[in-house]
Amino acid sequence: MSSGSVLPSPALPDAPPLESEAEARERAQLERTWSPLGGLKGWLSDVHHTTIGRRFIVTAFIFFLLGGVEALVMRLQLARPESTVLGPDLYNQVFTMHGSTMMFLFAVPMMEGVGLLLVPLMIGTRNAAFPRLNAFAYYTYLIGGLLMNVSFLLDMGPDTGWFAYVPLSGPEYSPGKRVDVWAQMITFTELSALAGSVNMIATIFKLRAPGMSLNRMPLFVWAQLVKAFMILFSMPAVMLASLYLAMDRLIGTHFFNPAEGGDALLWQHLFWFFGHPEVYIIFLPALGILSSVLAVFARREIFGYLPMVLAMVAIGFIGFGLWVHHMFATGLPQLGQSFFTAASLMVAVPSGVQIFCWLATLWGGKLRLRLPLYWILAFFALFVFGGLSGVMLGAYALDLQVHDTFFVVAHFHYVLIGGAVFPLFGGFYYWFPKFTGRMLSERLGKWHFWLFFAGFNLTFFPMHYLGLMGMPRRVYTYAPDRGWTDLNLLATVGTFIMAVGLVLFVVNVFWSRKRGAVAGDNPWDADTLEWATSSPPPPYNFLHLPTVRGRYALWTQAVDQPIVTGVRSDRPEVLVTRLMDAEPDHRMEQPGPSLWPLAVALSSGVAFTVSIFTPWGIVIGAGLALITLTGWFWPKKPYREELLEEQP
Amino acid sequence: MNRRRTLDVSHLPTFAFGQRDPLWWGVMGLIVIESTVFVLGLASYFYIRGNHFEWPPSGSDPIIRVLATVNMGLLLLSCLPMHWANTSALKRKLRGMRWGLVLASLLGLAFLAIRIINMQAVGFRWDSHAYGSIFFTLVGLHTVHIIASTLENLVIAAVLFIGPVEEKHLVDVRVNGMYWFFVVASWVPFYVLLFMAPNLFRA
Ligand code: HEM
Ligand SMILES: [Cu+2]
Repeated sequence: MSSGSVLPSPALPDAPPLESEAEARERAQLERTWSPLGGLKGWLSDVHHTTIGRRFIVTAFIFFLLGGVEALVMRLQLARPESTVLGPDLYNQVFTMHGSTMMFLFAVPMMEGVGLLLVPLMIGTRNAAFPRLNAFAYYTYLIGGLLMNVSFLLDMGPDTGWFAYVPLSGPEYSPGKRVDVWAQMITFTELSALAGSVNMIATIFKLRAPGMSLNRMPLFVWAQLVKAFMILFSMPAVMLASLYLAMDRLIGTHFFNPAEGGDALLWQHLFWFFGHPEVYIIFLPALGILSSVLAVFARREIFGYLPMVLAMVAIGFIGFGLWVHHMFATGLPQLGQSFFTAASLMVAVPSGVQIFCWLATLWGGKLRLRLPLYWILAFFALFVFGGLSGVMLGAYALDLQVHDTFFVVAHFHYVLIGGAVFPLFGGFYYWFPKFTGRMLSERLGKWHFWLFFAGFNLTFFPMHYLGLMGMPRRVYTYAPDRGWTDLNLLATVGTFIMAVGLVLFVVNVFWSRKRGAVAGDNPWDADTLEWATSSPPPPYNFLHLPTVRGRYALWTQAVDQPIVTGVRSDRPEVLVTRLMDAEPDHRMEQPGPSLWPLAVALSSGVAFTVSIFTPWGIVIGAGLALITLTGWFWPKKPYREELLEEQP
Repeated sequence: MNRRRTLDVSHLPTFAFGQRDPLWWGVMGLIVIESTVFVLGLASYFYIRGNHFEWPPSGSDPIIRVLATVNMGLLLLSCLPMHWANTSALKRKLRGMRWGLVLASLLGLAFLAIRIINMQAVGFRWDSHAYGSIFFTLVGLHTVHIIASTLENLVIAAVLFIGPVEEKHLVDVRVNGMYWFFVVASWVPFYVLLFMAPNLFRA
């Protein structure tokens, strides 16, 4: 199939054919099999990917709002010199909470949630590969987030920055429990991300609709796949690092203690071996969202499917060779400086390839300027801008000058907010109708967009100047004679404008959920399989499992595109296909709703939280985990025809 | 209503072995994660070693090398019964699966007992110096894997003894075996580096 040429067929509002009696029976049976249990137990034991995915998204959004309030408070403090909204100690906690919340509790879980919600639908299956593991991932994440935020309310919030450098975070300079809370929060959230990634990989590899070979997968799914692999290789680094840190603090090991042969830089290496890929872990799924929205609103295929996929994979690899550029100020050997400078500049190549492919898509497309596209177009402006300051920072000489100033703060907010939050909002406007059945209001949406866009630039653009003028980051105040006052005030005004935009967004969501225009199955004429089922999708996702014969599943389907039959509807069964070409291979029954994942998450919660206070926490938690895990994996009552001939 | 073209899959089996099976990919994912942890642990070891002229800083007693070698032998030996369990799963034979798992678990328990003795004999603790910290952490991480894996073997064996046994348990046995082999193999570099040749690759 050539790329960029086939126009989607014009919308055929095919009147839903009347359901035959057999179909109605099938539907009722699927409904019985896949619906969650009732009541509180049903709520806690639900394992379906749409439920868990939605919970991830809502929870991550709440953390985003909390992190936003923290940002607002910081900006209030910095609006005037020598102001007293926050004292130095509280300011330390607040910026650490803000950074840690945004990175660990918002950005990664949000991308995770979006993937979990959409990928099984996009690849045309009924659930993710390991439903219970999903529920476990969610509860662990929730426990970690609560742990850190409750501690903050108890004046035990972490205060050594989102990357908790030793020796500052070590036992000597940070007595008390604040950093321990941070280290355990890391353990929880990374555990959650790892579980989610294993699940994502198995789902994408094995549950694709017949015909969806690897080279026909939507770019969104590719992005989630590469992201999941990056998590597998990067998150262990920060888990190990936080384990060392916790042990240094709690049981007296000496990993980071130079007096006993340890090394403080070991922390930085491990942290950034995770920390740099982290940026792409956030960013790649955003690119996936972008490609989905762009194809639909430019009304054509994305230009250069293959280069796009290769660029994502290349970013995945190069992302692991860059970590040292965060450590330019630590005094590296000359060769190291040049190597990591070169590698940092090299990553601009695949990023550039992607940008040009998108531009080419826009170029030849018939643009439909609807809300999702607004956010994507804004992404281009902001991301290119943030990328430019990034290339500047990638150069060793320049980095040394602006290291630890507001220039860096400006840079990473341009890439993080421009590169991830903007596409996320675009994706939200795009997929909201699928999961609620209603459209978001365009008018409120435009207000949201323009306020957020203007507020964003007012907030962060001046920070470049502040940084060049020498204002360091992580200072709780500054003297009136430094000449930083006006720009700081401007930045704070910008933050408030963003906040107003966000409030409008929340109002829009609540209003439209009940009163928005009814959307129908496929309001945007989109190409991927999630639009082939009803809005919102039923608990079994598809009445008939679909087959696929091109990259843009709905745009390329034949008039009589076959449907899959023979997957049982009286059991939660999914169709497993082959890795490369997605030929049907076998049928697999999935475990149903269960409280065990919650129980296992709670026992690890006990283990890690109690271990902050006494090492016995590990022992108690391990015992609980043993019991609950056995409960999780103990087989249910079997089906007669699936018993082994030989029995005990 | 007109009849749609269909792709009938009702004749397909309800389980499959190896990379056809989603669970196999799940365990592979786990193995990748654990390997990354181990490799990063080794990297930390080398990083800390780079700060030392003398390594290990407090010398070492020959007895712990003997014990470590015996233990390595036990682990390698446990691969035989595990292999037996694995092949029995393919042949759908209950006896081999059950006793293979039980034997492997017994060897795992013996290994754990010797490891406790071994760690008491090393003559330093995790809080003695950075070497002690990395040494105990690496050994500890691996010990946790052996404990977890042994328990898993025992739980699966229990299912096979109590029944009823389903066809999909064959897949569980094989995937579990794969993980055990990984836990055994991953110890080899640590055995060599921590016990036999601490100054390996040193200029
Ligand atoms: C919503 C608007 C946001 C505003 C107004 C904002 C503002 C700020 C401010 C004022 C700081 C502290 C600067 C300092 O004193 O050093 C900061 C730090 C930071 N922000 Fe944001 N931010 C926002 C959103 C985000 C998002 C979405 C992310 C990530 C996805 C993020 C990640 C970070 C990180 C990692 C830090 C560094 C924390 C540290 O120094 O340890 N921010 N932000
Ligand atoms: Cu970086």
